[in-house]
Amino acid sequence: MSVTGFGRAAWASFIKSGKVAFTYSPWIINRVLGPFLWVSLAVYAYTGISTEANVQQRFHEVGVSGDFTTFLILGQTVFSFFTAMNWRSGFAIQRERWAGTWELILLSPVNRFAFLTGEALFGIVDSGWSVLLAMAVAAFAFGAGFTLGSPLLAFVALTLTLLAMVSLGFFFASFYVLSRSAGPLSMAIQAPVRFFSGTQFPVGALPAALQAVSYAIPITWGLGAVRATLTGEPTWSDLAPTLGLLVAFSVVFLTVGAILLKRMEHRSKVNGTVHLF
Amino acid sequence: MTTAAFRTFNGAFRLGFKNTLRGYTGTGWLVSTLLTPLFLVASAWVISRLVAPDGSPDRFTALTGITDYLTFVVIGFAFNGFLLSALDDGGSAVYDEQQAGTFELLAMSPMNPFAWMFGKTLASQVAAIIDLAIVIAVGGLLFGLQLTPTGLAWALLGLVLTLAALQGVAFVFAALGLGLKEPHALTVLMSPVFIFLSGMMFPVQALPGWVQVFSYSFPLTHGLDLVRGALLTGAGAEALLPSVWGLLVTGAVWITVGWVSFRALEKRARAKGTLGTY
Repeated sequence: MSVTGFGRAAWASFIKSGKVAFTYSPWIINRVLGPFLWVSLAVYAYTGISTEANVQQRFHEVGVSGDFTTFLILGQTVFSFFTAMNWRSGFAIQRERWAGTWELILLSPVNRFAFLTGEALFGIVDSGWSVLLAMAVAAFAFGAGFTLGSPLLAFVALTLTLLAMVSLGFFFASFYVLSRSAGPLSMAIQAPVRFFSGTQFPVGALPAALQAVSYAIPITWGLGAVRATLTGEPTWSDLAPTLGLLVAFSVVFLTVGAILLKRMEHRSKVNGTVHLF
Repeated sequence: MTTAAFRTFNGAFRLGFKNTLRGYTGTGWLVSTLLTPLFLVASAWVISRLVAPDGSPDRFTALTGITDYLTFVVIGFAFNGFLLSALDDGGSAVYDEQQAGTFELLAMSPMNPFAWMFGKTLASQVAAIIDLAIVIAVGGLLFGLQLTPTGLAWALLGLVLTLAALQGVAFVFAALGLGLKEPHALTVLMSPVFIFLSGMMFPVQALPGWVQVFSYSFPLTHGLDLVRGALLTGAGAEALLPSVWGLLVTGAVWITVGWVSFRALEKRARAKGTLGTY
């Protein structure tokens, strides 16, 4: 498939996702309010059981230099991006199955990745405005403070984090080809990812054995990089290892995802389970 | 209830219950049902260890008089399945029929619609007892859940009344799903709101006074107060009866509002010719 063909397929997928997404008003309301609600819940999970001074002190003791509400707001922000990527690129196949169109897509001479890329790009645009809006509102409501030392470094950190999430979504998508319960599986992975990535608490608060799991998933690194660039003034060399790891994670997950997607598609065709959900 | 209405209720309940149980047999649901509560409770464990490494969180104990935060949270999360069931399955009660192309037929049939709706939503709620059992098992096996057995009868009463009261919430979401379509979006939107308001993860007393008014207009808040009071503090009738009354009153209000809204929106959908659209 040519680059132009790939681009056209991705664009078609992008536009289709947009039209579906803005058809139902409840989903639009959800995008506007959802991230803010989860941030509020994350903050009250602490301030509802302990004093702010104590929480702040305990966060400092496990290595968090900034304000704990800023930490939680950024955690929820990045996690919301992950959720969007998971439901967009990962879950796209299941949505087509529900609509009865997955077999037609597999029959068409379109690159599967182009189709998923369009979905993922729409996910970034769609979740981007709502998540950043929620971040701004939550920062105002809870008095969080951001320090943007290097806008370019922050942009690169966020972009590479998103790339890692997209590649993770592609990786999961391959498993959803075989599964008849992609929806529950999509939900099931959210809880452990939220737990291990340090969304709700510093990874340093976990027992050492569990921290090993944390550092094996790209979101933990992405979250660390985003928090560092928006709450401190790190240099490029400070973040170079983290950014390098995010690139490596993306390459690995994209490659493995591409191989698996092809194999799983073949297997589901042989088993005659392409359309089952 | 007349015989015909009971048969409608029975048919809807049995069908709904079988469908929900079938969901649990799928690998994805099973994994989700096990992992989600495990990590919810584990998160609360990490947070409590972080803010109070040597004991119970200070503000929590000051507000509630309870020293065992994890058990408090486990009971809260044990009821999360009922909440999600009321939100999601209430909306799905209509949405699933619309997708199957059968809602217009049901609306035409001379059945008792309240009995049908009550049977469908109650079936999902009863099936959610499996979620409750899983959370309690996770709490007991991994996180040292400690309950006061003397309050078991009160806790069971709280469970039954909460189940009944949450039918009203399910009715409201069925009505909203009928009016706005896409009930799942409403579930995703409202679940953090109700988790927040009901005090599932922290005491309601930690919320500002005006927010507590909303909290106590929701049946689950009273249900959790009753069950926690019975199982955590071993409180007697005098302390628990206000929660029983709260459950009865809020449950009656939600059921009335939910049912009236559902009938009104159903009537509007008939007039607009959108009964079968989703």
